[in-house]
Amino acid sequence: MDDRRTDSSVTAAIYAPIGDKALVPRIRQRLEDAIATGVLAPGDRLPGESILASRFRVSLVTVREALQQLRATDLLHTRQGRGGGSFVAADSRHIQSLLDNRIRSLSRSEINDFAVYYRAITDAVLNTIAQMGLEQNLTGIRDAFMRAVPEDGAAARSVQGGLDLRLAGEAQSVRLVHEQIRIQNEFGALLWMGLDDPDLRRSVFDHHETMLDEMISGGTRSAIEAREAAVNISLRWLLSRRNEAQRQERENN
Amino acid sequence: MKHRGKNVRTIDENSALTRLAASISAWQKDVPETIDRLAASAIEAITSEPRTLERRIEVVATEVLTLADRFAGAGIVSVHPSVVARSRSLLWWVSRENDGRSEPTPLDADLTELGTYQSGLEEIEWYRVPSATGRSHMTGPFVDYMCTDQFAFTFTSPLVVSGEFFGVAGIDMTVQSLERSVESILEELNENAILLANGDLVAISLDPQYATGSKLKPHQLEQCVITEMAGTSLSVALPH
Repeated sequence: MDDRRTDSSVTAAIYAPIGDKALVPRIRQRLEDAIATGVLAPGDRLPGESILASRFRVSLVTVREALQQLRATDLLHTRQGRGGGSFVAADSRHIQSLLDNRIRSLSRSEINDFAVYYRAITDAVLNTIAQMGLEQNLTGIRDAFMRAVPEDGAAARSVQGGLDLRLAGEAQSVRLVHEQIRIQNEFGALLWMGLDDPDLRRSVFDHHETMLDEMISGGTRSAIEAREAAVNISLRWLLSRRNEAQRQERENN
Repeated sequence: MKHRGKNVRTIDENSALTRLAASISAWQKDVPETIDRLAASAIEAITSEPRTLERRIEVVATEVLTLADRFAGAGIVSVHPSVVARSRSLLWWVSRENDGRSEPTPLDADLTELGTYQSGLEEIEWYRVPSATGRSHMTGPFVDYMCTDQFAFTFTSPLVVSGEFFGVAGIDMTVQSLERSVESILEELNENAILLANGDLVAISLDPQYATGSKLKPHQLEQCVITEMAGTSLSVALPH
């Protein structure tokens, strides 16, 4: 085999690290994000270690290591015996600082790149549904979306995640669904953090309603524009929070 | 390619259509009996010993999945309060590859990421239609994210106990198994033949522009001669 070919930029992508080694930090990050964004509330009990291992599809050892690290930073505590298990321990100030740290650590280019990836997937989902002539299947999704009236940010993020996944499901592509699940796990909690704000929540969800209505009436392009507007609102919020957090850090130093 | 006049069939074509119908019948021939077996054991459990429901369905479903590899999933689904009080709603087993052998595995919707966001089971076509019509129904093809991540058909029949609708009993069959049975006959018929489900949903298309699971639009259907496959929810569309 020609050695130059193995070093080209194209083949480099093939040989990029798979990332299995990073399983512990990834699980830890996922749980930290869930706690930071309120998806997991203080006092919530996590599923048992073996259930977590089966859900994450990793070994028990990996789960234990990730939980151990979260205990070490006081985000979880363990109770033994009947009714025992791992509980979310964080108090609200701890959560706030966790969230600030997480946002502060994001670089603008990292956020933008995530946004590009997110748009690529969600646009593909809407285009595929339209190409396949399955727009009418979205009426059920629209009805469920309209019935959901989330009272807080965590509930709203759950509605948001459900909407994205059900749309991906309607595109009838296993790979699109898996990509949607992946980006949701990596970035969903952060991208939609602004849903804590009731005004932002209202305008984002209004755009989603427009997106669904446009899709059902055959206006794919307008639907994609509405989706774009919703994402941009949330991204702006995230970027301004990040700038604020970084400014405060500079002042404190 | 031989030129053929519109709506005129050659003897070869008629013979291929007959063989296609026969292959499809053979592919789904045990479906009603199999669903009846699942339903019978569910009804027996519900009326005599509801606590044994899950165990009994497991026995039948495991047997079904082991006997025929065309069957990818089998079980019952019920959101009836008296069932939900004693067992899970989704008593469904699926064939999962394990060390090269397929093994019946209980389906746990909670363990599939999509399950978390799944809306009420009663809204899903394979539950809703038998519930509304009181009749058996073939859903799909659709990607079965909850089970096999493959394109599948789900055949469901209503579970009726003393006149009351309790849920559905059913089985999953992969599109792949149908492909294996009919692909060569479709090729004989027409290089762009399309096998449709429930009127306009593409099950198998030799024309690559139509993806499995997509819907043909009325003007696309008009460009084809459609022949229904008697006793099934499938039809074949041959472009003029």
